[in-house]
Amino acid sequence: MNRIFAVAEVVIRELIRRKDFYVLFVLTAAITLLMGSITFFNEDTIARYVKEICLLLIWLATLVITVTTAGRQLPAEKESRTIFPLLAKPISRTEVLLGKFVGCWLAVGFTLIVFYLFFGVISVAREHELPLVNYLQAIWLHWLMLGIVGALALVGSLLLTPAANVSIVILGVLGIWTVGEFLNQLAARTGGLVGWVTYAVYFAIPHLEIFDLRERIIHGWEPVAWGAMGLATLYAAVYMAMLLTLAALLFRRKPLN
Amino acid sequence: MGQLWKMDSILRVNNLRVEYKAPSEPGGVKLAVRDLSFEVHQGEVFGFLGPNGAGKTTTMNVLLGYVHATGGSAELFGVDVRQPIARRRIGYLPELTYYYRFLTAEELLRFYAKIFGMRRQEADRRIDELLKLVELDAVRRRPIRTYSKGMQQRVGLAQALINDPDLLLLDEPTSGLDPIGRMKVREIIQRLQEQGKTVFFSSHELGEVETVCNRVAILHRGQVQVEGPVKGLLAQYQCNLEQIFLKVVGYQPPVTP
Amino acid sequence: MRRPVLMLLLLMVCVLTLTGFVLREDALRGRDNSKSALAVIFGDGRRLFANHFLTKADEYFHRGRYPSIFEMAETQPGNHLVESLGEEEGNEPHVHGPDCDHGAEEPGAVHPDHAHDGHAGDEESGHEHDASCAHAEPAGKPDDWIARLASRFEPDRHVHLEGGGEKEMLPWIQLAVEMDPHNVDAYTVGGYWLWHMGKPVEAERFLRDGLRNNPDSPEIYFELGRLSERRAKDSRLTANLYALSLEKWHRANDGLAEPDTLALAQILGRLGRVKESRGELDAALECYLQLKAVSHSAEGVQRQIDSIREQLARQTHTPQSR
Ligand SMILES: Nc1ncnc2c1ncn2[C@@H]1O[C@H](COP(=O)(O)OP(=O)(O)O)[C@@H](O)[C@H]1O
Ligand SMILES: [Mg+2]
Repeated sequence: MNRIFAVAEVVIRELIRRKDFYVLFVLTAAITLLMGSITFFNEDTIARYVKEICLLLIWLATLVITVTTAGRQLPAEKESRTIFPLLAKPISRTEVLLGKFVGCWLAVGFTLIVFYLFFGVISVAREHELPLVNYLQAIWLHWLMLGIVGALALVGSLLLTPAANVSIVILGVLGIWTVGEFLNQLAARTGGLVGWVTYAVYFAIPHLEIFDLRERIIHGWEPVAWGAMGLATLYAAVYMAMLLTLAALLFRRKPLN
Repeated sequence: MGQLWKMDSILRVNNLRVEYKAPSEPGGVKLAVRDLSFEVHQGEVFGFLGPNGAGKTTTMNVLLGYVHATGGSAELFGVDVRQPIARRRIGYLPELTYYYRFLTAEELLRFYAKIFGMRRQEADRRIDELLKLVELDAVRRRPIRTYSKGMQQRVGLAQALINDPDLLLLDEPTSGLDPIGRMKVREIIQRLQEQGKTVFFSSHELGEVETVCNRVAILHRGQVQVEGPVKGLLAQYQCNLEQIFLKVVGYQPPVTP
Repeated sequence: MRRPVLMLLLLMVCVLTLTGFVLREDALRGRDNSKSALAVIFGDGRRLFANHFLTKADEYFHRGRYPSIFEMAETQPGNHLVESLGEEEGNEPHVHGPDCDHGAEEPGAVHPDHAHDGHAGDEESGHEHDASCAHAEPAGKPDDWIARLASRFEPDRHVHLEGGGEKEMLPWIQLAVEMDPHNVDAYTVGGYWLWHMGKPVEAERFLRDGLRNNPDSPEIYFELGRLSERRAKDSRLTANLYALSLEKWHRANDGLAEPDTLALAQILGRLGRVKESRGELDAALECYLQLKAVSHSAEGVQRQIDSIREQLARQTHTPQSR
């Protein structure tokens, strides 16, 4: 466990010292403030479109950070050859992999907190209310979702080149966000072999879109039932476990030189 | 105790054979090491010599478990190298490694100390000691990316020594360094020998091998051609190590017409 | 690494928005449309954005709850998302899902304003509709455990914004007309809501802007007419606006195989009523007679006609001969 956290710490230090995070944060803040500064029809208390834009940017920025961070880890170890001195020490490949995952996930968690603090400030400034429970639920589910995405990027980094991996995972995630929940209806509509394949895809993919509470916090709905939160957590945990097991198996067989 | 184990072999390679898949080669395999046998004894500095492509790194990789032998066996401290515990008491410096460039030397060493499960105080003491040994004490808080090649190589030496290993495996520790850098590495190796460490290092820098090594093996096309104590070989061939080396690899000086 | 990350972000914004638009646009146009989605994107990109923003406004009106494209395709695939002139006479032209029918309102029946104004709203939260109006789940929708789990995280009730919350829709309406100044629906919808929120001056200015960009739009004249009627300032102006709307309607629809009779019925109904209230009974009668031909509740119109004929008879003691 200590070894896993030692590896994780290096991942976190790297993210802190790279520019990506700061660039994306400043970009998100700048676009949000710009959009927020527009007045529509002499009405200066309009809030929801600003919240929507801010959240969209947060979702995109944290997706990019997660996928690039997780997707980069193992290829960079190999490219800079740091994997060799590391594995010459008493640490297993599975521990290295888990350390990388935990590091990415924690780093993304800190990133989310920073981004959502900004969102909270915008939201309070505009609406003079802070539905804390709703926000915490949204952050929690967002974090779980990015955990699955990070695990996916780790698996991809063992199968594809870094550039291909990052683009495929990002496009895949965007695809799931937009059409993932409709695949069953599409399957029912299509029928035949294609329908069955669509159904199989529907049940195989991680349904990242269910972790999206943006509509609820933009439009001020009541919090989600805690039972449902528990189920979502379980659902995410199962996918993360499956993906990490797959990654560990791939990594163990991977030739290093 | 050192005396008692003096002649005991710490590293033993027996009829080692390593094949790489290589579609371009006839037969689809590249034979990198064939029927390789040698031993390294406690307290020795053993030079593992050979031209580029002779199979030195491949042999090291087998010892570290990165590459699996096609035939024969290899042992460290009497334990088969396929078992990770064989590597508990070794330190390894890979060739051409770029350490985590965003960390400082101190952070890097602390990271590796954590992998070994060292206590905080013990690690601090050891890190101070090592940074003095490799003369990086003054720059310990600078990111490694700002280091020169020689400094990076000495960071590598320090990480190889973090666990106070009994056996050091160094893969071309002086390649690519300027004369001063090479000199410093050589001094460190000698100091380690004085401390009673066993050092196994590969090289094709014959001058330095002649000054620091007790014993050498000259490898060519994956096979040991000559093996023995340096003094014995010089006496036997009546010439310096470089000439022996050239003879072994079959080098013919060009005949001027 | 910095540059690729930014490029990726840009790429993602594009991909995400385009995907969303394509899906929505597909739903708007119905399945049998032969025009490919890509052609739509490159040819009519701005219109696509504008329509998307208008849809967004509708989504906001329902506090984020919005029927999926599949639900919409299930019910009346060819239908327009935006009821160009509201339903039958008197109803507001707000953007609305096709499956939410506000009941066939009888022409001539008095609907001064927004159909929902009677509900005293529970503040910002809006109010819930009766089941008949909810965006019903279509019958054939699969019900697997994933869908059931997902549904627990989505806004699940059909509610409308009210009590001032409607202002949240305004940015999207503004963006829609900025994207596509020929999006007449955006102007009429915006005009209605601005008036509804107690901003008649902004409403008028917005509709006038729309008129400048779309001088031949019967819809905008109609909406201006309704605005004028609601502000109860000058019934002559109101009548003129409706008359202009009627004229523009004829210019746009005469000779078409399928003229927009729904819009015509609304215009005629309104115009007739204003004329009637101004005492121009002949003109009113003319309107109602035309209305009878296109309305799908002819008895209601007939009642209206009878009542006017009665009034005329009382006034002049000479029976009309038509
Ligand atoms: N992954 C590999 N696949 C195929 N051939 C390899 C691979 N690694 C090394 N070789 C070949 O094996 C031989 C020995 O290589 P190596 O051990 O790296 O030599 P050295 O370290 O002595 O310079 C070389 O001919 C090299 O081309
Ligand atoms: Mg080598």
